[in-house]
Amino acid sequence: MARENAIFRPLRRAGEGREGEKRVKPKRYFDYMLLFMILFLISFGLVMIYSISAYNATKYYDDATLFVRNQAIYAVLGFVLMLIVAKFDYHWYVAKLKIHKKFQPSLLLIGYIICIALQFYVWRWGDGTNGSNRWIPLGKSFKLQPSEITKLLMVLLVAYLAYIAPKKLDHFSGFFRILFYSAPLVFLVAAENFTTALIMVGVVFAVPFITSRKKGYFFFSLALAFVAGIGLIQMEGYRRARIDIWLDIENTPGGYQILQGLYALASGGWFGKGLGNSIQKLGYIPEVHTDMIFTCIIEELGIVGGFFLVAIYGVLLVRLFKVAVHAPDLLGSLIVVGVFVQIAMQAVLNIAVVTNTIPSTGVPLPFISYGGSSLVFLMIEMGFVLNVSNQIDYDAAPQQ
Amino acid sequence: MSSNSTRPQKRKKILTRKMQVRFIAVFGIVILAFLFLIGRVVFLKQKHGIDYSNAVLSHQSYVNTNIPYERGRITDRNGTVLAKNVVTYNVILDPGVVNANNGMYVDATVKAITKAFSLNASDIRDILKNNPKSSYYILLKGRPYEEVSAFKKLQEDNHKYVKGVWFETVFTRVYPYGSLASHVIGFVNNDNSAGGGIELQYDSYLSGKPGRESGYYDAELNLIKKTWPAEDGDTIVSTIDVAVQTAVENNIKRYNVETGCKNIGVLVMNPNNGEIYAMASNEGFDLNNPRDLSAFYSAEEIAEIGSDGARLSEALNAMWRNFCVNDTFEPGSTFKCITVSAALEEGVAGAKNTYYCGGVAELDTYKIHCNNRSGHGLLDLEHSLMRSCNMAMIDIASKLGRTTFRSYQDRFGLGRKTGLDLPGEAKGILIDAQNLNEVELATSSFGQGFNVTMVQMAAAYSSIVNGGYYYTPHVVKKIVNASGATVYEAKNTISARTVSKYTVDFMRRATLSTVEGGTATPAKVKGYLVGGKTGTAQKGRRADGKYIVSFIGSVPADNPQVVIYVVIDEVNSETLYNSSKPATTLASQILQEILPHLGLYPSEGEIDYGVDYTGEEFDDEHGAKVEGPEGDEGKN
Repeated sequence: MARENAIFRPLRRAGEGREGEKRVKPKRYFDYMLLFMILFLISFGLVMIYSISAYNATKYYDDATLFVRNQAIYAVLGFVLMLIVAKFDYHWYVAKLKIHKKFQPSLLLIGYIICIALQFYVWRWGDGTNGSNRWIPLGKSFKLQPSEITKLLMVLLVAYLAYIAPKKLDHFSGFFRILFYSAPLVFLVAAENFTTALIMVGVVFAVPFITSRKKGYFFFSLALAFVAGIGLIQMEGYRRARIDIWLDIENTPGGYQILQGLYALASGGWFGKGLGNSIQKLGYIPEVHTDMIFTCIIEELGIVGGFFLVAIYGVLLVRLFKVAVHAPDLLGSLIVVGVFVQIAMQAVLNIAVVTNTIPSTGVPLPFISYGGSSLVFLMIEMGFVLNVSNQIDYDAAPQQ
Repeated sequence: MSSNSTRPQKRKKILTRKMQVRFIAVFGIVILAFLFLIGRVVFLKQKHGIDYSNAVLSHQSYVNTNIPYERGRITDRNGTVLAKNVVTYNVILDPGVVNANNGMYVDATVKAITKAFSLNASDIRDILKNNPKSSYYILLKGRPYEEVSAFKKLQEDNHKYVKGVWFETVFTRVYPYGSLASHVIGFVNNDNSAGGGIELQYDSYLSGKPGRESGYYDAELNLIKKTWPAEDGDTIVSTIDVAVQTAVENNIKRYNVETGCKNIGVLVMNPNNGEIYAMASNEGFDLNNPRDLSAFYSAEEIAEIGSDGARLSEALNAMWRNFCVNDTFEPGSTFKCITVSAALEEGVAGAKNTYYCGGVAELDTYKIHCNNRSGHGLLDLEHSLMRSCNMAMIDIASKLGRTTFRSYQDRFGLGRKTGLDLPGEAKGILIDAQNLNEVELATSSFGQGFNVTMVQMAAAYSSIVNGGYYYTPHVVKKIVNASGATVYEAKNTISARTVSKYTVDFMRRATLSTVEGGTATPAKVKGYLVGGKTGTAQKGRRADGKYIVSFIGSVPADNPQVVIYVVIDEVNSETLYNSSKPATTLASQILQEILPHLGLYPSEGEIDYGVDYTGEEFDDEHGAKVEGPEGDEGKN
C-alpha cells in the first residue's frame, strides 16, 4: 500500500549527522526525580495493597501476603522492563528494518499489525471474564490482556503520525489520517473494553490537539465521538445498566460494589481511620484491592491522605510535562504527551468511578491498584519517558 | 503528501511554545478534574458521612457470623452419655440499625420477626420506639434452631430491608444422670468455663474451634457466601462404669439414711491397669444445677449464705470437693499392708516370724496401746495382719529403720500426686526420714501420723495385690474426635514395680485370711474370694475421739480384678463410731451389686479358699491409743 509506505517511512534521528560522520556524545540527562516518583507510588501501592488485601487473602487463600507478594513480583518485572525500555532509543521504533529489499517495515508497523491481529483474536475467541473477552490465556496461570499492548502502541502510533506531519494537523484531513489508522484498534478494543478504548481516544484527540494550531474541527469531532459513544453504550446491555446504577446508586440492584465504596469514602473523615483500620475492606467491597482501592485509601488515610495521593500524581505529571517540553525532538515530546494523557485519564477515571461521578467502568488506579499487567505496561510506558528524558541534552535539561 | 515524505528535513521539529501552551491547557483540565474529584469526596463526606458511617458499622454483623462449636461429650466406658449439649439461641434486636435511614427497615423487620417468633408486632414497635439508640436488646432467650432458621430464611429473602436482628448461640450443657459421678465429671459454668472434674482437666479437648460464615454481594447482587465450619470438641470416654457408679452411690445414700456419717468416699478400680470404675464422694451434687445448695442446707441457711459471697463460695467449694482426690486423711491400719510388704521385700520379716503383743508399747515417754489392750499374745506375720496388731507393726518398722520405711512410702507413691487425670489432686503429708523418730516410726507403721489420699492408697494397694505393678490411676480411657478418630488413648503403662512375687502371694493370702477370719469378716461376699484390710484411725487430737474408718479390698483375692476402697469419716453411731464394721459392711454390700456388672459371677457351692483360717471371731479393731506423758495429749 502506497499510503502506508508513505507513513512508515525511514526516519533519521534528530541531531544525528550523516553516515560516516563521527558523533559527539552529549552529556546525557536522566530524570532521577521521575524515577523516584515512580518508585514512591509503587511502594505506596504495595503498602496499601497489603493493608487492604491481607484480610481477604487470609480468608480465601490463607496467605495474608499473597496479593502484595504477587504485586511486588510484577513491580520488579516491570522495573526491569522499564530500565530496558529506557535504554532502547525510541527512534528505533519507527526506523526501517531492512528485512528485504522490497519489505522494510518499522517496528511500529509490525506492532500495529500484530495488535490488530491480537485484538481481532480476543474479539472472536477470547477468554470470557466479566462478560467481556479481554484475555488471551498463556499457560496455566498467566493471561495476556492485548488491550494493554494496544494502548502502548497507540501512544507511539499517534505520536509518530503527528510528528511526521505536524502542519497537516491544522486541517481536518491531517487529523483524519490519525483517526483512520487508529480507528481499527479503537473499535476492536471498544468492543470488549470500553474504558481502555476511551483512554486510547483520549490520546488520539489530545496529541493532535496539542500539535495543531487550529482546533475548531476538534470540537466537532469530539461531539461526534460523544454521539458514537452513546450509540455504543446503547448497543451493550450491561453498559446501559451501569448508567441506571449511576443515576440511583442507593436503590438500584447491582450498585453494591460502588455503594460500599462510597460508604468507605464517606466514613473515613478528614484524617481517616488509620492505616489498616478500614472496615469496608473486610469483605464488604468486592475486589477492593483492584479498582476500588482508592475508597479504602480514603477510609484509612482520610481525605487529606487522598489529597496527597492526587498531589503526587500531579507532581508526576509535572515531571512528564517537563520531559515533554525539553525532549530532543517532537516525536519524543509527543510520546511523553501520550503517556501523560493515559496516566492522567486513568487516575481521573478511576477516582471518578469510585466517587460515582461517572458510571462504573473498570479502570485501575495507576501504580497503586493490584494487577500485574496494568502495572507492567505502565512501567514500560515510563520506560519510554525515561528514554526520552535520557536523550535530553544536559544543558537543556529541566532544573531539578 | 508524497512530496512531504520525500523532502529532506530542514530543521529539527520540537514542541513549540504554542504547543506547550496547549499542553498546559490540557494539564489544566487534568488538575481541574483532580480538584473536582477531591471536592466530590468532601461533598460525599459532608452529605452522607454520618449515614454511610452507620451503614459501615451496621453491615458488619450481617456478613460475619460466628458458628458455634459443640463441646465434646463425656461418656462412660460403655458409651453411655454422661454429658452432652443442647443448642438454643438468644434473639438480639439492634433498634439503632432497624430505625436507621428514616425507618425504612422497620416494617419488613417487624414482619419477619413476628412471622418467625411468637411475638406481637406492637410490642416490637414499642421496643424500637423506646430504645431508639440502643444496639443490644435481648428480645427472646433460648429459642430453638427451627425458629431461628425460619427467620434467617425470611431475612435472606428480603435482605435489603430486614436488618438489625442477630442471634447469640447458647450452649446448655446437659448431664442426663444428674448428680451421678458429679465429682468425676465436673460441670460447665454459665460463661462456658469448666468447673472441676473431667470437664476442667480435659477442657482443651472438649472445647472446639468456632466456625465462621461470611458473605458479600458482587456486582450482579449475588450473595457470595463462604463458610468455615466449626470444629466440634472431642468426646471423652471415661473409665467410669455407670452401673458400678450407680450402685456405689445408691449404697452411700442408703447408708446415710440408715446410719449417717460426716462423709463417705468410695473408690472402685481395676488393679490391673489403673482404670477407675467408680469414684464417689458422699452423695454428690446436681451437675445440671451445680450452684444449688438445697440438698445440703435449708432454705433459710441458703438465703443467709447467699448474701455473703465468701461463705457462699466456701459452701460451694465444700460441695464440689472430691474427697477421694482433693482431701487427705490418716489411713490407719489399711497402711499395715504396706508396712508388711516392705518388711517382706527387705527380708526383715517372713511368714514364719512371730511377734509377741503385750497390749502396750512404751516408747520414749509415750505409751502406745494395741487395739486389743490386753494384748494379742504370740502372732505370726499373717495373723498380725488378720488381727491388725499394732505391736507387731511397731516391731517390723523398727527393724526396717526410718530410712527404709520412708523409702517404701515413696515407692508406693505416697506423698506425691499419683498423676490421676483430675484437677486439684492432693499430695498428702509424710514425715521426713530424719523426723521419723522412735514414736513417729511406730505410729507410722500402723498408718497414723501422716496423710494420704484415697487414690494414693487404692493405687498402692492395687500394686501389692496385682503382682507388684504400680499403674497410674486414671478416669479417662480414650478421646475420640468429632470425625470418630481416636486422638488419645490411656496407656496402661507400669510406672513402677513395687513388690516381688513372694510378697504378692503372701499378701493375697493374708488379705483373704483377714476377710475370712480376721478383723474384716463383714466384708465377705457370698460366692466370692474377698481379700482386704480394715482401718480405723483417730482423727486430729486423740482426745476428741473422732474416727475415720475404712476398708480396702480386692476380688477375687487370689487374682484380683477389682479393688474397692471405702472410707467413712465420723460414723454417726454411738456403738460403732470407732469400729471398721460400717466400712466392711458397706464394701460387702457394694461388691455384691457391682461384681456381676464387672463380669465376675459368684461361684456355686463350696469355694476352696486355700487359706487356713481359724474360724475364731475377733473383736472389732480399735484405733491405736497413744498416750503422751501428760496423759490425754494426743501425738500424731
